Amino acid sequence: MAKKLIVIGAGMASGRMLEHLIDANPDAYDITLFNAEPRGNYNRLMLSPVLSGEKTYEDIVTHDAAWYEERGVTCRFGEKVVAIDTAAKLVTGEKGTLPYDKLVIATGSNPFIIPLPGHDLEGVIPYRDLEDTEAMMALGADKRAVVIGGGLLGLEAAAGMAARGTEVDVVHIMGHLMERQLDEAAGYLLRRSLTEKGIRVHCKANSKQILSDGNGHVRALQLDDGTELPCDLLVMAVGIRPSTALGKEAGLEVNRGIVVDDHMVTSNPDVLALGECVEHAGAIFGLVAPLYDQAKVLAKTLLGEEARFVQKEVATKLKVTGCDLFSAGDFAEGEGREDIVFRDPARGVYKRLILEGNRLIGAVMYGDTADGAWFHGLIKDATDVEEMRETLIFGPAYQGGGRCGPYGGRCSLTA
Amino acid sequence: MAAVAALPRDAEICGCNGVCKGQIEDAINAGAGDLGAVRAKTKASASCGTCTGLVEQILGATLGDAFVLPTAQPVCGCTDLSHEDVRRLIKSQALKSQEAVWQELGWTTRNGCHTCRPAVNFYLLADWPLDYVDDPQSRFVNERNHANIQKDGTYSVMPRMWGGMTTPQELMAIAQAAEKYGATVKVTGGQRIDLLGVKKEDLPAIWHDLNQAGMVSGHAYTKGLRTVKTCVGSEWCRFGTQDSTGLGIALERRLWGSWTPHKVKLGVSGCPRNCAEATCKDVGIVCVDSGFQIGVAGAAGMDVKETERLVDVRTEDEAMEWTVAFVQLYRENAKYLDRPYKWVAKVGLDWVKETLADAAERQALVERFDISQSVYQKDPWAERAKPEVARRFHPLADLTLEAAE
Repeated sequence: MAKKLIVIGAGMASGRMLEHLIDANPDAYDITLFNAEPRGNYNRLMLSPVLSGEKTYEDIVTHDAAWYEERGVTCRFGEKVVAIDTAAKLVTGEKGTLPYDKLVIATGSNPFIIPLPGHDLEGVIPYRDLEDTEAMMALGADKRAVVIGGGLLGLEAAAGMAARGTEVDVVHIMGHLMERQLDEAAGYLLRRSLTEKGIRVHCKANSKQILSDGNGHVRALQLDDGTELPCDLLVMAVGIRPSTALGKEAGLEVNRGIVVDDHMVTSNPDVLALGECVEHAGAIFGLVAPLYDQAKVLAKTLLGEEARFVQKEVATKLKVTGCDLFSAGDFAEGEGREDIVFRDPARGVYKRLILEGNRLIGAVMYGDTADGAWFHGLIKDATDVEEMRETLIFGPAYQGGGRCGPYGGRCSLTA
Repeated sequence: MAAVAALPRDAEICGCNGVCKGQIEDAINAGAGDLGAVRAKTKASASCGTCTGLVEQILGATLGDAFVLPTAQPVCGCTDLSHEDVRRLIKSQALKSQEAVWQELGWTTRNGCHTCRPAVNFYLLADWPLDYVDDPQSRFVNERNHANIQKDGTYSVMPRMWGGMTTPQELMAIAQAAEKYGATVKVTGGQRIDLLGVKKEDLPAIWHDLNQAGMVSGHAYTKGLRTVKTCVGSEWCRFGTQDSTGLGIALERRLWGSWTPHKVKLGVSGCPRNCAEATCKDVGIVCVDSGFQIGVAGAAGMDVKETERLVDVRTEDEAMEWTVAFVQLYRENAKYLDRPYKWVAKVGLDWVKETLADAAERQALVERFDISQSVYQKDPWAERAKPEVARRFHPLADLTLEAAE
């Protein structure tokens, strides 16, 4: 008799985990999958291409109800889990209670809404799921939108709406866009590209309040210098918070996220967790790469195999057509750190490598990111770059010796 | 040369004659093979000449090896462009931030060096006063701390005395401050009183005390307007022809607080006996019965040079307008750290005269100066005497703050 596994949350992390688990041993568990959203799993990363019209929702579905059912997974979609009893090992959904042997929590995260006056007006939304995307898509030409937050998600939302003819203002509190991933120079180039797309960017701009049209709908965003930015829709993309309520109620150890060990096990040995709801070694997660690593580890743990999750350097890319940027590693200025800078004003290219000793520790690129993966590899592997320092910035094609011919390096990397 | 090669064809190269890159390229392709030929054909760089370097680089980029590029002095190791090139491109390409300059002009460093940053910071704030925000980190220590650091690490404090005039109340306040903070008192060559030997941590307090007595910073530490020196003029002097003191005060009230490529000192003498030594100032006005003789480009430092006559005007208002327009022309065109006499020698007094003789241009310069003053004419002492800013001058707090910034 197979053991009973309950998974809460049908998102990208749990979807990938179930793939691994079922591929390895389809009969190991009798699986039930709860999902609050009334649908299966779609590739959330691809919401931006849906918004901009480059893809449709159907293109980005990865695991629908049929996919799960074919693999013997019982789907309880559109049903919220209301309680977990870890002592009796029971999960209670809106439509009934089920026992489990192992429980996986994959509740993801909630978008953070700044409690500005007027944040509860109609037309104020986060950018998180398909509904939000549809609200933005429905706006269309001759309407106006304001996006608060000049990070990855906010800019994708802005560019997507602008591509549909909406007039967009982006309001960002920091001095340059995507300050967590980019330095000022790349931020400048990104801002220039977005401005060319007709998006107005306001940096160092503090939001003061959201103004109503008198009928409970948003009319404008007011900044603290008094500027009013009129809008029909206001999108807040200022970050996410791990969704930990269920974990907390179940009595699990929770800090910023649900705390897990290297095997993705929570403070209760029969409860595991992964994705944006977890905290591992003090870190929480918002990008997909580490979640896929967690999915692998969690599946192995469920199968009784040894595997450990290790946090790695992650690289970022922005999915906005015509804005080619790449960043990885650490690029703050510091004692003992050196920069190698390359600029090509004609092509709008900027590349900066940050070295500490003989190691590459960070890379920021804009306009030409072809060598991103190669630099990312040098950072991850802590390769000694002393020998190639002079030509490092020009990428693998310019590294002599037996490494590769002019194209060999790149080909072997992208393969 | 890469930055110039990257410019679009409609980028304006010569501001005086309105010549863009495409016209220059066309002239070169039609056979103009050197600077003289390009000048003859397009007029580019034929007026003030500050875009000469850019024209030469276009020659180089278009003709390749057939043109030997004269070696212009670059700003610093971060770029091969000269100061004049950078200034022209900041204007014509509407570069409004340091990042825009570094990227669009192909800087080889991440964010400049101690040589280019103060210059670029000045160029940006002079050309785009409403768009660009002054960057204190790009300034020399004296300008950052709004006081001159002395050889023993203490600072000097010099309140402004408009046109060299003061009052018993001001003198008493200065005397009290000198006693309270143990300062040495020196009368300067610019008709001011300098308080020497003030400790850094006492700066906000002494500024506050002097502010209370109605005095503001004398900007004795800036690349900006320093002093307007006057004589007693027609009000007191038997020989005085005009109210030189009044004009000097009015000029100082209009010009104070403005940043300039280098320091600027003025003098107004009430008659040709020239007691205010106006004829060796950056701008020196000598009053005569028929009005005012405005001289510019004097020097009395490493070089000594008499002013050259810019114009003779009849009224005080005209004297004010010409002076402000001249200062603004200097702000908009000179290389950072060139005093006016050096700048005028480069562009030629004739070009300066010709430009300012155009009443509309003169008026436009005055308007742009006033726009800049709407942002920059503020007393740095008053801002820094506020408690939250004043903490920065305390030795211990200073270190932690800088580290946290």
